Amino acid sequence: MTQRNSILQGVLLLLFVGVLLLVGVQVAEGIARNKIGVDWSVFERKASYGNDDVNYLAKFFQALWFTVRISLLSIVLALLLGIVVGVSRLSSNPVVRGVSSFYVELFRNTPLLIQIFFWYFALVAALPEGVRLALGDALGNAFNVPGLGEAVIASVGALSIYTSSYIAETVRAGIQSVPKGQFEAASSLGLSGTQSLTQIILPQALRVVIPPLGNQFLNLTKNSSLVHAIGLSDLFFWNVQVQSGEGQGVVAIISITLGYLLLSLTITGILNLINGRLTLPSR
Amino acid sequence: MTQTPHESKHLESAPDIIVARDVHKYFGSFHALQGVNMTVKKGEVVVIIGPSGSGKSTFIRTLNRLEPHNKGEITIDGIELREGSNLDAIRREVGMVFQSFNLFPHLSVLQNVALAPMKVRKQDKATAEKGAMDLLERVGIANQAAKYPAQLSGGQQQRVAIARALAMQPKIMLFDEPTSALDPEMIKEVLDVMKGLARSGMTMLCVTHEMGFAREVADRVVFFDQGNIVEENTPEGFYANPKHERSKLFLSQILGH
Amino acid sequence: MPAVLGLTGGWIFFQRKLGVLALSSSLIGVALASVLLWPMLFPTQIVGGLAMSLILAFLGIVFSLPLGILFGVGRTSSLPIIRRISNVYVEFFRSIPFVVVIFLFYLNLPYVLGNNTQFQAVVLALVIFTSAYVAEIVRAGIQSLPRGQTEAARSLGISGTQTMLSVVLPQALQNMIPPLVGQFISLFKDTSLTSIVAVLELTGVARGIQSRILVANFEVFLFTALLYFGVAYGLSRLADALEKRGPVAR
Repeated sequence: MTQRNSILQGVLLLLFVGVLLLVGVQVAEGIARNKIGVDWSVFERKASYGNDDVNYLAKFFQALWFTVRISLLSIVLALLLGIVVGVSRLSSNPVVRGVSSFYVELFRNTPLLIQIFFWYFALVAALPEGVRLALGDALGNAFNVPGLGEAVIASVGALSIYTSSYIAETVRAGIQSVPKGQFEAASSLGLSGTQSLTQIILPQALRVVIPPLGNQFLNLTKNSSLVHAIGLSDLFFWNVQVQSGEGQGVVAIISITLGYLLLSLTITGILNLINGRLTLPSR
Repeated sequence: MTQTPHESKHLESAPDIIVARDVHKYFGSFHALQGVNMTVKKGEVVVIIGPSGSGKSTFIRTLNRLEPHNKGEITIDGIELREGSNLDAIRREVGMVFQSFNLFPHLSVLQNVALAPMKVRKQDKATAEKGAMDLLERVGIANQAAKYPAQLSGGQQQRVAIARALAMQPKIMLFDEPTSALDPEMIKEVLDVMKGLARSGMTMLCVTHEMGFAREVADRVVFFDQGNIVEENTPEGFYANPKHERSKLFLSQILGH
Repeated sequence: MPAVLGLTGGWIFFQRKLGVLALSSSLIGVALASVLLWPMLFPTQIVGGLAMSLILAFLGIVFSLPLGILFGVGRTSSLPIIRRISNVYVEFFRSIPFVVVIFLFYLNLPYVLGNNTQFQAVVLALVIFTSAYVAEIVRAGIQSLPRGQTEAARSLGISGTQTMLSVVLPQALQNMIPPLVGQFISLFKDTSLTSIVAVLELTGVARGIQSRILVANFEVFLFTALLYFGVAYGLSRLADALEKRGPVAR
């Protein structure tokens, strides 16, 4: 039995490696045939975009840092919005409940890319001019992309609202996972509705919610790759520049794949740490 | 151990603390309480028994408005229970202990007990925790104060739940089947705490089938069936010589083996 | 938020003298390009944008099923090498953005598949990416089954493979239908990302129209969003209904 299993595993492993090798060799041949060099020294070349006169390596880390910052800001906003909407979905007021359900359904059922375009081409343009210019300048400078502030408004707006609709559902499910007896015990002690929510329900819901919430943070970070479509210089934007400007598509895609893997693994690591901290002792 | 509480308590002269008149409760079309009338004197210990679905739990849950009643009148310590603002005031006077403990799993034992005094009575942390430690001492569990509920046995958890309710210094304690979820060997430790409480003069309403508890400390046994009170009797009278046919049938079912 | 959307919409509408004309023409334009199966605005386009999005999503989910089941079962395997390979596959594709996978395949696969195979490359990207998520659904479906099912089958002397094929998978697959519909909705929305490598699906068509007429951004993207919403919301209702029917195995 065990011997048969080892043979089976060996065969499957060989098959898997074989397929990978086959594809790899084909791609390598194709690349050679099309005379596309894989030149890692592209990192040392001076970047053809931006006006800060640095090489692609520096640009890579700028882009990575940009991705991190825009994700962090959007995550904070998404979390705040998501909690408010999620709690509202359980409101006893039918209007509040209806509006928050509509919010969730609307933003969950349309593609993020369309939402980004909608913000950028329609909503931001419709902001009162004073607000738009002031906010745009502030965000543009804060993110080191002067002149692209409006794209930052659109990106942060779309990313955080899109993600908040998922977070709201997570929060709602988390609250509903807290047993009814907890509400009853809290109110029979004389705690008010708000006190019950903040002292008893939310701290417990939080523990249920953290793993799926972590997934949403991961998704948001990955989804931030779409902001390149309105001209923001994130990690994916760097990839497009290196691919089209320097003809080094292979180097570019491998580099950003590693970049995104690094971000995902970091977030997963932090989440595991938090999860470990929050786990309550039991017998 | 055979002292009868009636003589020592002078209940006849005590004021009424709970007055329920013609209390009705519907769950959809199900008529769970069908005009319950009950008066409880200050310091009285009442044991409520009855088959499941008889309305006994529903009734004590209406007394702190966890289940709002649909018709009738409930007065707790002179304040009428109705839709409106007196609810928090009444809930401070009425402690409740649940079948499933309902301890707050994210708080330590000490925090469970100190939470309501801090948040509702606005005590400072030191005062609230001092009071909480005293109560944990009283239920015999002070050495577990730093642990979390999931680290305790069921009996220990229920004693913490009693301490938590007592921390609000209630005038009335409601017990909703406090020993039904416990393993047999843990029932005694909880009942001992409840007996001590009864002897200290607390007004108590207990939904429980523990006959020993009823015989030892109850002033009165109330038998519920089909949404109303069928029989009220002294513990001795009820268990030895029930008056009503349905009481007899019920007793034969729970004692028959 | 919806109120804000409505207000801004109305405001833009009011501001523009030719608002009504712009709105109706853009609506009709997007509708024709999206819904009808003829090349109206893009002569190279054989099908409309919405149809293209649906075709991509359909191809993606159908071909991702076998791969997803393979790796999903692999993740529950007792054989460590198989489990590890499956884990690496699933975790890798779930850790990088979809648009990166699309770009990777779009640029490199034609070297393997031959010239003018960009469309196939994009479909393969959808398949590979989705299969990682389907694998997770399969794994959850298998692990949600009571252990007693496997134990009962094994105690009857049925082999491990046979137990998986004839007892576990048939039950697990039925329970997986609602999350698979959810995955299809995600994939349908995600086909919008293929517009980044110039596939003319709904988003690509919308961008094309927007960049040509330039005056009715709000209307173009609102209408496009509504088209996506109609399909996605309808399907999510379907998934809810399927879920309410409850799991088959108990």
